[in-house]
Amino acid sequence: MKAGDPFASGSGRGDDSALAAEYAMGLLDIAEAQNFEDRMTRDPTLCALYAGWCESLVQMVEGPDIEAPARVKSMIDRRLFGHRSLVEQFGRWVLGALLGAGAAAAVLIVTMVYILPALNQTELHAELEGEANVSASARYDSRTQQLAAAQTEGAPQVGRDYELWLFLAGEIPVSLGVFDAGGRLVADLSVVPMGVLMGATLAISEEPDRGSPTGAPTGEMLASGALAAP
Amino acid sequence: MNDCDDIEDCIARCALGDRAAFDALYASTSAKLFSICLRILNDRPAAEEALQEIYIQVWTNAVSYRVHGLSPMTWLLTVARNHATDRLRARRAASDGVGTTAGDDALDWIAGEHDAQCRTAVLHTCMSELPVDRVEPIERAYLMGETYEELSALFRQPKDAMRVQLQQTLVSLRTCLTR
Repeated sequence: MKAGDPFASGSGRGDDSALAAEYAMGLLDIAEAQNFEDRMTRDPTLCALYAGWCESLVQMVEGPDIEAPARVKSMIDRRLFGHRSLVEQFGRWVLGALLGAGAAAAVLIVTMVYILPALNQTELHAELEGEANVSASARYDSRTQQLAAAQTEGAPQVGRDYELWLFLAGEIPVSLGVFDAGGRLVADLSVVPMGVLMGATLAISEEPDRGSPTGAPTGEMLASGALAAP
Repeated sequence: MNDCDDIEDCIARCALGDRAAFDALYASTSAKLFSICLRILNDRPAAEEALQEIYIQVWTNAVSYRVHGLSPMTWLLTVARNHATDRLRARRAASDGVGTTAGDDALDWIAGEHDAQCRTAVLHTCMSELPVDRVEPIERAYLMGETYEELSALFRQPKDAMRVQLQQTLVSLRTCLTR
């Protein structure tokens, strides 16, 4: 046997190696598997046997890569993080505007996307305020295409988070993430042209830990404000 | 834009709740894992559902992936294989043993085009040294999640004899793998 070999073992380990393989293949019954797992927590050698078998056995399933359709990742994000991605939401916004109002909307979009940014404006600011003693300020920088927000007042209840939402005109809100423990948040807005952000509303709601599980705000809006030139 | 140069680092960052790292991990590894799902399940919608579940598990269990000392890629592949074969088992249980052909394609694939690409893999070399009738039970167990009950029915052997035979095959395989 080679030195440092994951299967290498002292005498009487032969059975354990086969057992580790059976465990890796899911051949053990529930009691046997439980017993093997318990032993692994105490015995690093057993872990090494199991790891060695996994490394070998997976060669059976490895093959040429096949790209999964994009909807799979969208579904995963929706299930894990509970909302549409900004890319999807912006796409829907453009489509909705075009279908809904035809040429006028197209002109508006061209204006916002191409003309406004040409006015030498590189920043948008928003002050978020409400009646709940929660406030924050946000700054968007077109050079980095990032929006940075900082809470200036208020704190969520223990085990809950403040979540920041972007409302593009006429569309349901998109989450920009939750504020960290220091009350700060940075969101990448590179998919949304600056002109579209002009006048868009930002708002904060209190949500369960790590943010709304449903894709939409579940708590009421505690503070809001519109993005505008400083 | 987002690729994951270091998979281990990406998994570690997933454990800290870093969604950008999760996106990068998905971008770098999903084609490999989807290929496994398709091969084991041989059904696109089922493979897409499986891939969702697998990455949800990856995100949820990123914290504990080091526990058994698997390399990061092996961990991902193992999560994928285990989930896909669990689905096959559930499918067989639901159809009460009827129509178990889905996973057979995984076996065809082993013998077919893939074989040529993977001839260099140590495992394949060692499997090819085993008697043919000893290889199939191992492939069925690993690629289709078949149990000793199912194998013993298929190969018309008592369950205990089936198990002893398979364990002996594993010992031979190990001897070759560690050569």
